[in-house]
Amino acid sequence: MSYNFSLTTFLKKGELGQIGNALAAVRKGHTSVGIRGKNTVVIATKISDESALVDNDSLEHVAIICDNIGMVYSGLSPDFRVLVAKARKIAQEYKLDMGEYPPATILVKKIASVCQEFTQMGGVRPFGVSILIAGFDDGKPSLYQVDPSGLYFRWKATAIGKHYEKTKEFLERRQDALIPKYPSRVVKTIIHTEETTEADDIGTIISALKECSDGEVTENSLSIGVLNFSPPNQNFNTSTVPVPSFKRLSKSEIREHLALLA
Amino acid sequence: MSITQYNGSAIVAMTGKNCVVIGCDKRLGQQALTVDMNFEKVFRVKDKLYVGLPGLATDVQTLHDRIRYRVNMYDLEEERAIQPDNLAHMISNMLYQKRFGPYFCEPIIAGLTEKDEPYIMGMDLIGCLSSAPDFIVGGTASDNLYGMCEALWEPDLGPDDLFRSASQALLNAVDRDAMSGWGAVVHVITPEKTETYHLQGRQD
Amino acid sequence: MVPTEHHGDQWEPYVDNGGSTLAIAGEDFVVIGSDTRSSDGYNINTRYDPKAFKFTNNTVLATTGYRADCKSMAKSVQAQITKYAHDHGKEMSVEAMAQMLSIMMYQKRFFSYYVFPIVAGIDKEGKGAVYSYDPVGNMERVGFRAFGSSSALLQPFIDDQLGFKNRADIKPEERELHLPDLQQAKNIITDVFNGAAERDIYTGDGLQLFTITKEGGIELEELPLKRD
Repeated sequence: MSYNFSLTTFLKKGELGQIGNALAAVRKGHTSVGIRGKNTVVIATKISDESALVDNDSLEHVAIICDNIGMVYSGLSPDFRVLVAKARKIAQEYKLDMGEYPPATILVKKIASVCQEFTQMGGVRPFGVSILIAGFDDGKPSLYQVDPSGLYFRWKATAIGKHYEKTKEFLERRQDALIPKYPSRVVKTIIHTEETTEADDIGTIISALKECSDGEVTENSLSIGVLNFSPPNQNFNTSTVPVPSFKRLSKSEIREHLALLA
Repeated sequence: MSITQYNGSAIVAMTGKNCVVIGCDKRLGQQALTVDMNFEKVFRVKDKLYVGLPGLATDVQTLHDRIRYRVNMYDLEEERAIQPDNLAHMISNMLYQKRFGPYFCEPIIAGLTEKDEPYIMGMDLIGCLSSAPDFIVGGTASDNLYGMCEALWEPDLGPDDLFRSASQALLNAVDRDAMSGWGAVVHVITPEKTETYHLQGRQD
Repeated sequence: MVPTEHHGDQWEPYVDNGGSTLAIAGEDFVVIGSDTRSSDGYNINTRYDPKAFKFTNNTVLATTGYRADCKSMAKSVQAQITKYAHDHGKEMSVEAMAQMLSIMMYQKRFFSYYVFPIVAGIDKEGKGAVYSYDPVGNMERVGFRAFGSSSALLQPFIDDQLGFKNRADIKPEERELHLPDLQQAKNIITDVFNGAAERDIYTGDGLQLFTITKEGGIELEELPLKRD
């Protein structure tokens, strides 16, 4: 007698129902946005305030994976925590082995293969999250999305979670507005946000979340992570050349950006 | 006698101005008995990255195989050329994984970085890395090589002069070491090309 | 390797006190370099314990190995040389001294001096002479020789520079035609001793440089070496 412990089995029409269901969980989750700039990647999420009594500071929405990689999610936060733990372990193991943190592609491939395993292994269910990963490849910024199926893409800018379609449309419109000299159709396919600054990108992200997500946008309801090159000899960094660094914005920093948009 | 001296070996790596050299002797012995006169101990990893493996010959071959396996996997997974410092870390880890039953081999890495800066690194048989700005030596003739290199090395040598210094260091060092010798191989690594020279030495 | 005084329960009669010597013979001179450190394992017993001894106006004996044996041996040699001078009314030649030392060492064949001696001087023809020995008195006249804890570091380099080994420009057989001048010999010794002091923990502190010429007799220079 053989048993099949897999919950992710093919439907007659050739789809994996559990993955579709996992994506539905993602679409229910709070909106997350990411933009790739010339030397930066900004990722952010709008924290849904279920109750005014919740202390949002206790939640980790934007997670630091290692010095040069950060990620944000839409979907089930407990599932995200598991992926963050796995990603951090992957990054540290890579560093132990190679003496440096992994490039974004490598981490993404490994995280995506973890996600894939959870669609095929016995006794498990897929992760109920999509994640946006900010990192560097070959010294250039990269923004990746990884889905519950293990599918991954590289984006110039994107949104996931609740209202993601609306948010993506906003980003498309916004890039047209930012670079008006190009015909929008061409801009959409060629350059996106590559001419903008880090502050521009943060502004765009906040505007997108303001416009497209539910509820009020304040420093308490936003979580923003920025990946850039930190100047040498800062924060115990002994290197003489700029090194990649991923940081979460503090509340006061978010407040400053909000003020600029007001 | 230590098991690292069973087969005999001599390896030297030196830095120059925008270039590095790494060379080895060709002898393979079983204690005083010479078995092979064409046993090279420096291996190409990439065009501008070489690894020298002085020590017990069986471990030299096994380590070379394992390094090649790891580097090939790296190529496929990362689709980029492995850098010298990453290779050094990788090998160091490989050795430390066998902390209590080590490979009897003390690898030396020599190459040019992405920016064509010279890079040399040595380590002990359990992977303790040691870097030097000038030269790294290893094998049964290491004392002799230290003496030679200390006298011959100077900063900012061009590829030709660096080749001459390394070759003289190797040949004269192995001539005073019974366990190594029988000619030498020297690889001269420059940003444009890597050239390999086979040197005639004493055949005794 | 430096053996320790006690090896298990077995008593060891010998200790290697480290240090290095290097002699180079020129056409009409000899230079002898030796460091002044004396150590026992990781301990430095003294930073100034000269290894080379002047015997006549023409001969120097440089020693490494077990200091006690070196000094005891040197004392016996000195006694014989003094006796020779009294008996013969002249100083002993370097050839005679070299031969005598070989015999003295072989007489202790079964409880030998743990010493690696070099005898240097000007021979009867006025040429620089260097004799090297093993601890039981096997003697060889050579053009240059390094002994002691740094011998592995020093010898290959002088093989190259003075023996013209593995050189494209000069063949080893033509060595006699390319003997170093005094300054070259001195430079080689100071250079290689600095290199040896850099890498060998048993060599350092000070360098004694003896120069023997027919006209000038024996001159001694003292130079600093690394003390760490």
